[in-house]
Amino acid sequence: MLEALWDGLVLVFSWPAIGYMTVGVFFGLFMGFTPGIGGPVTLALVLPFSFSLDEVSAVAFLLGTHSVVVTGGSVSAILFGVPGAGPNAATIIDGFPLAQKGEAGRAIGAALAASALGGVFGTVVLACIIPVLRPIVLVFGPPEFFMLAILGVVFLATLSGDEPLKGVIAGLLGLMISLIGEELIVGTKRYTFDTVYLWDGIKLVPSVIGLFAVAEMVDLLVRGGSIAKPEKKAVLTGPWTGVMDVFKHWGLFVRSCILGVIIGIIPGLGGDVACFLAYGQAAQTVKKGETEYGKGNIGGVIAPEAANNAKEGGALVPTIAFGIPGSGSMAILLGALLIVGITPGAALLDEKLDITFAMVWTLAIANIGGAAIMMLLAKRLSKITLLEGSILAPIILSVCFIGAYMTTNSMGDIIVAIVLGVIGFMMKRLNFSRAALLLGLVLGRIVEQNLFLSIRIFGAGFIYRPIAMGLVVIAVMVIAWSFLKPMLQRRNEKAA
Amino acid sequence: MKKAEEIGFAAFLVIVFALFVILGWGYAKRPRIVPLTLSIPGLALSVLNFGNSIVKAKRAGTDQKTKRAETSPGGPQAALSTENRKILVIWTWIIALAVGINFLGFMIALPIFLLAFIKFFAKRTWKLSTLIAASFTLAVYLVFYVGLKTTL
Amino acid sequence: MKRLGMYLVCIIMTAGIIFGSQLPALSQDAAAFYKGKTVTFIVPYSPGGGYDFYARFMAPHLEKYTGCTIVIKNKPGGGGVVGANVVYRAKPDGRTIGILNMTGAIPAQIADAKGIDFDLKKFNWLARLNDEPQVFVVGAKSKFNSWNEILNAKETIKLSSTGTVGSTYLDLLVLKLVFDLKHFDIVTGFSGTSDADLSVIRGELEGTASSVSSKIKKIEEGNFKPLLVIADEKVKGLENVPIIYDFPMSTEGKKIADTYIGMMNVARAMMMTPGAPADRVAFMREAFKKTLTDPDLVQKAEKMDRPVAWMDGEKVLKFIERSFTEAPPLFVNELKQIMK
Repeated sequence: MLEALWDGLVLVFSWPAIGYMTVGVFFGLFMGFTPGIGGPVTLALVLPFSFSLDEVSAVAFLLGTHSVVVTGGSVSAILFGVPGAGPNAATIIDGFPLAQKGEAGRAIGAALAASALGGVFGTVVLACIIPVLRPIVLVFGPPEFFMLAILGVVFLATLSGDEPLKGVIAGLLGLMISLIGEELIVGTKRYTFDTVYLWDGIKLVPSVIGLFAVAEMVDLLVRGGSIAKPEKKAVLTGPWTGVMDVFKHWGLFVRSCILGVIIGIIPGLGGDVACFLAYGQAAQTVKKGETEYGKGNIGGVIAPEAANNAKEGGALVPTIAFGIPGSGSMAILLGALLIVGITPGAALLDEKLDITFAMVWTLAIANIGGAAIMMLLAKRLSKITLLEGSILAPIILSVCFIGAYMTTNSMGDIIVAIVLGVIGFMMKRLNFSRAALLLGLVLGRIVEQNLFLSIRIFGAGFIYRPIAMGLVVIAVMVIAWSFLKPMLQRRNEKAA
Repeated sequence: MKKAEEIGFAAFLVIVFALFVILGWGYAKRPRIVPLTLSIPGLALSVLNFGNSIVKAKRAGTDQKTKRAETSPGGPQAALSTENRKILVIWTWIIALAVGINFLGFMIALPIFLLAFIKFFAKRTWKLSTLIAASFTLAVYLVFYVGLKTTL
Repeated sequence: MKRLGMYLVCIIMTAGIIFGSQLPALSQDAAAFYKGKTVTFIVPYSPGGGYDFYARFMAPHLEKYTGCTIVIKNKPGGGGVVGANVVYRAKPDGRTIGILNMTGAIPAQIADAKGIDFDLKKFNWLARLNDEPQVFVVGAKSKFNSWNEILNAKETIKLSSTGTVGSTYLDLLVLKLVFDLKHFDIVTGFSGTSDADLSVIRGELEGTASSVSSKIKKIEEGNFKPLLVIADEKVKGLENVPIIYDFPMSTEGKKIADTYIGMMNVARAMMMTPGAPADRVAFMREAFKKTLTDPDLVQKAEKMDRPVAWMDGEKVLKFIERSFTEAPPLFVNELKQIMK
């Protein structure tokens, strides 16, 4: 085992593998930074180049590219409110308000550090559980997915801020929007008005672009000035402050990583869920006196970024153990592995353990390297938030539309971005929680789908499965806590 | 003015949830369970919110009347209505861009939008607006058409 | 003697030029047309999926054989309907081609589903990419060991499936109709075949079905037991598994099986906008033939469990036409139920 660990490291650092990994990291960062191009597209683009490489180089090249896409994406999420890749959607909720406060550098630093360390965390966990992969993957079924999604919905309540009624309405609206489209149980097309575009439902990326980027740009133009509000011009904080923030919020960071790894290991929930669950969990544990979540709390950047990169370590697990990809990108990776002669499955864990560990090392090194490169650029990039809004906004709006359009290459994506842009703009002005809407949008379908699957497979008693029951207990505790916390605080104030 | 927005958006939410309920009612037994369990409370809450916004508007209205007697009339009112006009103008620009993309495609609509917006909305020089429009379009062309070998 | 031979060669060559000029001249026009131009290859599914992979995999070869630049454009939506509509309505100059999942498209058109603007019979079919034999599997720990045991089972057998428009559901539905299996309970709602597979591996559900290429590795790994191949002949790698025709079925059932397997024979195919000039269609057909019979490409594809099996476009059309005329009313009604 230890020997394989070492051999893997040697393989990664041997030439030309390390060269290919470097190229991959740069390409991945650039693609991630470019809005609308997520992990799967990036991998699909580089795939043909990997065919002629040897095993280790191909692994280093593809995994290197893949593991930093979201790292690059977090920067455009924070600076412009445009998600570079799907999983960056949750980062915007607090990242962009931080940029408005003149703390773009700090937010980027925190995002990069959280994603790099999260990636390493996920990788370490992956390495530790390689021997017992199979049973872990197999304990999660539809009842557990259902309860995880419900837990996310429960977090909705705490995202609502000081106007709970508006928060819950926003959450319900998000859940309802997620139900638009063809459902999978009997194939009814709901709320589609006979429009083919709506059959596949409302996509996350154009929605986030509308709710945040478009809405914020309109707000910027109305307000005048630059993204970072003028009075804070002097305090453009540096990225290192953000890195330190991750260590200050160590508990939050570790919790988010664990959530990310679990969701990565179990295929079927999808990557976006990890970030939003981590975000919800962070908002849940907000301390008194801290900035409210959604208004620029650094924890809202750390949690989703840590969870996302930790998840990618986890997502390799089902890919390696069963040849069942844990995410869209992993599906492409799987194809590439096969062509260079690596067959996922038991053999990879027995005979080619060094290759498996080479993958693990690549993940870890690429994560740190990618973050380091962006760190060097962070300070310069964060100056963008000081540019005159009336010139920056039209450029970002153009980028928004390109990013939205890339989702399905259809005008429908742009219409979604505009409609949700108007709704998001109104929500911002009238103090409705856009985070709650987004969480609802991500979770609605998953809740419904796994509820019906659970009932069809296990009957109504599905809830009594041990892990599902454990999650029920946690959900009840979360609800109870959100009632108890204000009461306890009041009592403390009285005592003091 | 913000009160009118508040009431307007609350009404919009009521209509949206009512639509969700009405359309949801028509689906078969299984596909309608979840939409109805979510949209009916949604409708109830948004009606409540609508009521709230009206009550708040009334209360604020009486406050404003007493206040207006003291301060000079017209001042803040006028400022708000210019803000609203600005909001409408910006959304018109955005929708114009979308329409342009639909009929002309990205590579023609984007430079025209950028040029016109920076010249007429941001009121900058022709030189600067042309420079930005041209360099952004070129960047898009290089990344998507040359680099990624795809069309927009 | 040598001289005579030279003369002969010259005569034959001249004759060849004179008589053969008709066809080569035309395809030379097409070659000149495509040289340096861009051709849009519409993939009606998201980047990263199987169809997207095939398109990107073929593109460099196609460029080599045609001299044009292939631009791949993903137009996902409506299970392929959006993209197919785009190819159908494009300018018929031969610069728009596409790939389509026929096991989705043919049933949709048979059932007259909403949103379809195309007529599969009118496309210029360029080539078949591959056929897609399907296999019915049960979990490794299942008590069922043969298709006969399934046929004769007394209890309900719960099977995992994607949504009702997916090929997994169609496979199971066809088996149910062909053998009149009242005890088949198809649990729909998994997001993809991977999720449906995992449910069987976890032991929650008894079995599932989908393409051989997507199952073969999992079978070799010992996750699944293959019980029945849905194809008209034995499949490589699963020689010991019986095929659907090895078991008795009603005449109606046989018709359904025939129709379905007919569709399966042209599972993935490439097409061009209707009304495109004949010489350009012929030229592209030739380019796809060269691409898909290139030994290097075929070997690489095989390695990835992404099989390639070229068939000429004309023949593809025959298969498509047949599945429309052959589909028995029972099957059509069931499809209408799903696609409504």
